[in-house]
Amino acid sequence: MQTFLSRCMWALSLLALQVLVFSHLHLWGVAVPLVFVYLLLMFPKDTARWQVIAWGFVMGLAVDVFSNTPGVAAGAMTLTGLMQPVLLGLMLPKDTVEAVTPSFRLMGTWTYIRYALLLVLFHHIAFFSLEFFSFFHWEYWLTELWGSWLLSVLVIVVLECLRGSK
Amino acid sequence: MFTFFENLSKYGYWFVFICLEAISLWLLVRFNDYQGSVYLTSANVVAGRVMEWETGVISYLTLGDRNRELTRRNAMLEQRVSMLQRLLEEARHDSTYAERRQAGLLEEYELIDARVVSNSVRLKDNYLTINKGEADGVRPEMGVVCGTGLVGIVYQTSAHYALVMPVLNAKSSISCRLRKSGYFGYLSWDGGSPLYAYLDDIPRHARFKVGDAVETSGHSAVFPAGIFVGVVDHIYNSDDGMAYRLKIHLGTDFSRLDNVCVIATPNYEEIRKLEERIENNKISGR
Repeated sequence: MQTFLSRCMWALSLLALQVLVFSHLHLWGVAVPLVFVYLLLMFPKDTARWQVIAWGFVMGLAVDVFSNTPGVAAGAMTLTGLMQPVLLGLMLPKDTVEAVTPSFRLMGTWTYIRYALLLVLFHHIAFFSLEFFSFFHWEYWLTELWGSWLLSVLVIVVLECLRGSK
Repeated sequence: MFTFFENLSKYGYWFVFICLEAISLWLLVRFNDYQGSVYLTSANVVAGRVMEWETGVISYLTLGDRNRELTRRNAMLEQRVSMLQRLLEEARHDSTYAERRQAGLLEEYELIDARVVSNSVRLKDNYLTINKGEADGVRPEMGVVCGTGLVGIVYQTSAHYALVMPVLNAKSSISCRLRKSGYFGYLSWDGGSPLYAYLDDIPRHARFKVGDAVETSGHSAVFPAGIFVGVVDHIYNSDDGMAYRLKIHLGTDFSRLDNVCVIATPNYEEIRKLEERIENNKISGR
């Protein structure tokens, strides 16, 4: 069980990682890993849904404040918070016991990676669409989405390995 | 009644979702005309401190690069000074008036040194945060320049930080002219590469070529005339075919911006009042 306090610690660490390290990585001019979505991946099954949504909003808003993009990360994270329990429900077998925290050990490596790929993709589509809002460079949007998606999932899998080995 | 409460606890998250999503979208849309929103950017004290500390660490790591760049630029400027000195001596007669005028022009402007504490170049509307604010005399709508030319215009200020709208912002529009011929147009940017911007509304009869220098026109109180912007990289026709649209290779590399100067005009209030009066006269004259 994750307590409120440890979740706060995760949120702060992810915020620092994102703002101080990953926002500066702009690989090949297109790919920026957005790792703060990892916070939402960690919510156990059967968490009250409003909690997931609210955490998403707060995390997104914090990232927005540091990167001068008011509303972009907050909007995308709120939407992802709505989506996470649905996706997790689809990925876990029907007879799963309650309050399972998604992880390699409990879901199996491949299922977890699939879950991460899908949820991160959903978040990135929302994020980059909001970011480009009123003007659209199709190819740029797509390349940035692709690059960032794969990179984010890679970083998240590494983080998950670190968390699991503790 | 019971089913109502049951439904509320079951579907209440939709209510939470809709509220928070609405707030996000409101922030997204209203950010640009809501003044108080400066606290939701890295110009607020907490984010500003963190970013400033980080920039300090990073700029320490890139000192070698900076040194090389400065040395190169120094050599270039020295060469230029000696060349100009020679030219000046050649044209010694009748230059005293021009010299005095030039010196007088620059005296009016006070320069405030600042450092960039956060910056982005990959969005559509980029902003950068500098570590000087109202306490240091920085006010909205002051011009910002750096060693290699134009940077942008101060957009919002807090006590110790300011948010700058650089050329790399789709909302930015700065009056610029061709250095040789004096024809002017508006510099804008529409996303994509941070190295290029566009100069619109250059008339059809203007003569120029690729490689010509572009500078600020001085048609507003924000920038003095003659600040270097970039060079013409490509010439296009405007959409309606009535004017030229020039692709400008910007002199400033925004992705490695560090030290900048804010141009503080002491006569700024006066100029603005005058402009306001003209505006009012226009309205009442109608």
